[in-house]
Amino acid sequence: MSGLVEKSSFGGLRTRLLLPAWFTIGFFLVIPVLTMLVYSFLTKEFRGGVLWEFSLAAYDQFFFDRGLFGDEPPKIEWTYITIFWRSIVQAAVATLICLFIGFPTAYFIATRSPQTRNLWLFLITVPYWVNLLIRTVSMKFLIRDTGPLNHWLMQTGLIDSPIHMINTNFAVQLGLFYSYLPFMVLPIYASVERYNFSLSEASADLYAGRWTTLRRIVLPSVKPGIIAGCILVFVPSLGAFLAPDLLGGAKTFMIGTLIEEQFKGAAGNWPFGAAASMLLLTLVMVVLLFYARSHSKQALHH
Amino acid sequence: MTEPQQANVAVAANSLFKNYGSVEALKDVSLSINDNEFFTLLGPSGCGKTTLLRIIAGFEAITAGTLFLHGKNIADLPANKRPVNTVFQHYSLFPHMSVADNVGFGLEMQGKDKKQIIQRTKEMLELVQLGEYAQRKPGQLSGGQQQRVALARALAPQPEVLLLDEPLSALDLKLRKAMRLELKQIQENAGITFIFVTHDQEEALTMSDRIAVMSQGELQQLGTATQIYQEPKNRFVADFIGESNLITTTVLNADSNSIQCKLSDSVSITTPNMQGAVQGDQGALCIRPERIRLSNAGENTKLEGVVDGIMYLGTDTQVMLKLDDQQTLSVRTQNADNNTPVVEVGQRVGLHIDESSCRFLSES
Repeated sequence: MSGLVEKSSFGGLRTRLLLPAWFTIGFFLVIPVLTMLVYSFLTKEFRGGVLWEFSLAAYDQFFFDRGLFGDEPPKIEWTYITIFWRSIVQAAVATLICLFIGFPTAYFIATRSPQTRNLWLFLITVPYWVNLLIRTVSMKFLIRDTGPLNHWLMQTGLIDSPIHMINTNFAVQLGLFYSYLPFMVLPIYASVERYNFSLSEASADLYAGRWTTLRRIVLPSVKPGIIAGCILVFVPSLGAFLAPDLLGGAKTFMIGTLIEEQFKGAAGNWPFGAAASMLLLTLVMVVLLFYARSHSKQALHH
Repeated sequence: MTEPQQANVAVAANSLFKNYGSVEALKDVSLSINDNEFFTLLGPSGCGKTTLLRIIAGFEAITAGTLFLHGKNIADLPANKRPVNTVFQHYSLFPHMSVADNVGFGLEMQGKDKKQIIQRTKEMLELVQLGEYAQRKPGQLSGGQQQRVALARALAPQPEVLLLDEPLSALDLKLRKAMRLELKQIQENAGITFIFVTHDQEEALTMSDRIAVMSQGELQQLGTATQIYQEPKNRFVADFIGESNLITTTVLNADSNSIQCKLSDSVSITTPNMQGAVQGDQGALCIRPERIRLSNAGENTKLEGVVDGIMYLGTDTQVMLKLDDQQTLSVRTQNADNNTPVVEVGQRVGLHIDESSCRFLSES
């Protein structure tokens, strides 16, 4: 109904006003993704770049091992699948850590007085005024064997010899956590801030203790914020390359780094990088669709 | 009030104080509420009535004083350990739970077994006539229905005292009036003490066994509806409950039974001496508008005035009068009463004040 009315009276204006949005989506989303999709089906050129010949070689290389000269019968190639799997686990763990630290943080901020809330939010975003690369390098400096953290730990007598943290999963997790924590805190904060705290009072009034109230009343009410935060942390963590690259080693190689290397310098393989990107994109979309499906089913059920 | 151990006292508060920083929300409030009583806390917004309710519920701590529930000191008991339930002003139903789950929540938290919960939830929903809505979400119900769910949810765990925080304020007038009767009936049938907070004097007068009138954190008067209306203790109560003509006055003569108060230079009014006033006391004379009768001017009248304005109110007509010394008086005449002359603006009329119903309210 309202659509019809708008169309008749504001149709032309509406189209014109929406142009910038369509342009943004088209230019920054559709064209790059389509380019990647096309490149992933082209033939690799040796000094980087592509030859305009259709080929499935990139996908074949990702999943199958045909020996050094490509003439052996295909076997499943586990290298890249392992990297994918490791990335998923790393991203999931980073998401969980962000959730466990981000939720209480967001709850704390949302329950302060309105003036102090803004100060806390400001403090959460302050580190983001510095470039991510510089922050990640600083992190590397802080936790290296001869860095300030180990130095301090040894001085206080807690440890005798430096703990080796750099190039471990721990370091990568620390990097991911540090990079994406605000993406968890901010949406949860927005949810908790909108949460009607008289529901917690009603719950206490009906004999529920604090933990029961949190589990039965607060968490279901702020679930949209938690899910948004998890997606906002999980997705970029999955494709992150700075933290794994700078803080991790060969054992913590992640998809982001794999893709980055395909486009860096002469050793790269553009179609392979594009194919890996498309596979990552598909994986993320499947996860999101699965979530959207279960969510709408749940809504339908009730 | 000093004996919280007394068996039929449900809630006893003694010298309650509540400060928020430098703001005093409650100042030395003492009252006792009986078992099975419909007790109302009445006052304008900011008078401390909601604060007192939240203190009884356990949502706010007291700054000083004592609070007993059936003889047991509950001042330090957290809300979830008090056998008291609340109907919240905006209902505060859990939006993600069905109506039945909302009503059963308190029972579940009390650790009742599943069969009992289902049985009691069903009973409660039938009591508020919402049996068919058990599986709906609160968001799918109308305001009046949500209000009933909130009531069923609070009654389900069989609290010792039920607290109601302006539960009718969000409903429209017709529904509000119907709910008044229903609430009163439910209270009588359930045999539970109701403590009802409202700023609506009509609500308070029609439902309550006793009313506590509050203002600025202090208890102004406690009594039945009739007592509060007919024997207001002070200017605030007289002004807040019903309409009244409050005329600044001086006591001309006083003995132990009656006093004579000055109304104008030539006219005085003789009323019962309720507050032990003595000659020379300053204060206000409270004359209820329905206690003044009009007649044609010159018909054996002690007092006359000119009609300044007329408001037709359906069953009543409100007539504004100006006395000869420019003092204004409001008069209510019943439209069904044929003895009252029909008046016009500018007309001179005689006034007959029912002097025994007037009250002198001393200034202190």
